[in-house]
Amino acid sequence: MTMASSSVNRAPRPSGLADVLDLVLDKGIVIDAYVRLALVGIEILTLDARIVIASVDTYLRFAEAVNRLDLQPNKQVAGLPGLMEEVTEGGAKHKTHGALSGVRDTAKEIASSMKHGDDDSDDSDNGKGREAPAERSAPNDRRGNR
Amino acid sequence: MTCYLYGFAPGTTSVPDVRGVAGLPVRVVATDDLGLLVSDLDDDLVLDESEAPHHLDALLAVLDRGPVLPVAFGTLAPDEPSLIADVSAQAPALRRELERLAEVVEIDVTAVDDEASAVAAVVAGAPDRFRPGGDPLVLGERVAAAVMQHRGRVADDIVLRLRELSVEDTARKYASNPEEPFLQWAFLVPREAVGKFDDAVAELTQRTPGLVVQSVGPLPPFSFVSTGAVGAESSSAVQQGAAPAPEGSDPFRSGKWGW
Repeated sequence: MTMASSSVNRAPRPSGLADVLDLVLDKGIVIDAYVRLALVGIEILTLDARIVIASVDTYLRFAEAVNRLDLQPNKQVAGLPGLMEEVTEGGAKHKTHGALSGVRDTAKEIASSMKHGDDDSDDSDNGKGREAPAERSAPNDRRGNR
Repeated sequence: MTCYLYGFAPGTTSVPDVRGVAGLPVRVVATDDLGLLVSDLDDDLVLDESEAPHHLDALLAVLDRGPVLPVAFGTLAPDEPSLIADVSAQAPALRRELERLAEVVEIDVTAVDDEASAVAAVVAGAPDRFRPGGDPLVLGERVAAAVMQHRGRVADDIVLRLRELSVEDTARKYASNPEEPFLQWAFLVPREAVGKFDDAVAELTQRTPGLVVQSVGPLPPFSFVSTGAVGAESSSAVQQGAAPAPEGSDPFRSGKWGW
């Protein structure tokens, strides 16, 4: 699904294996026989993991998009405090980068870091959440990269 | 000799010049005015998902010549005589289905947008709800939900427009998160209306900046064949979600061959 190909070009068939499977695996006439596909389970697990990882990433990206929207008019008055925040975040990014890539591999751990993220957000609502435990590395890391 | 089944076509369908799963030739077994598209498989040959494109290619070659009813990937009959026997019982329903789908093809449509425009649109709609600051995960989640809603409305517009040019349509998948295309829809389009359908798709993309609507087809009517018509006795456990037969067990003994 390349964005480059314009909509006028109708693709004659799905391109990637995942898209083909999407079409032929659980659609079409299903006959009460036996479907001899040893690898189907693995494929589904892989997709699940990808979705969990995507949601953390996506939320942070959306937040960043909002920040960009809002910062445009205020840029001139941001001054020193804004600058300080950037520097702090930059430092945090470098400190936590290794830890983050370490956990990225398993969906389970990403999911648990999401849970911690939620707990944290409750804390920060009470006004005490600014110093970040390890799990908070995700926001800073993504912000630094984008 | 196991029979791998691709689908059904009218009995007069000629053999398409195409290789099927495992590089095997596809042949047509004619019975009861039906053409059964099959390949002969060695009993100990194990197929995996990498064969899926060949399943599709065989069906596309037949679709090029006329109507075809696609069977789900990975369907095996113990041998040709039992396949013919089972199909005979269901032949009238299959022929009706072939007639119903004779002049139409499936076209699958996906739509994605430019994320920055989508975010800007929802924030502009309710700036107070999306103040930056606080936990970016919480803000991002809220924005994501709003973006999904916004996309839902765009998706509705697209479906309503394309529905005018199709005889039937159905959701292929609803996006479960903002990373997926927000529209994944299948349309059943008369063969002669495919050009008009293309024009409409192009027009939709041009109408909204950032919106990209793409289509794939013509495909065999995977999303529209009625499995109910030929599945009177089939149990729901046979759906693909069911655990595959444990390795080493004989599917032909443990399974039930029938519709």
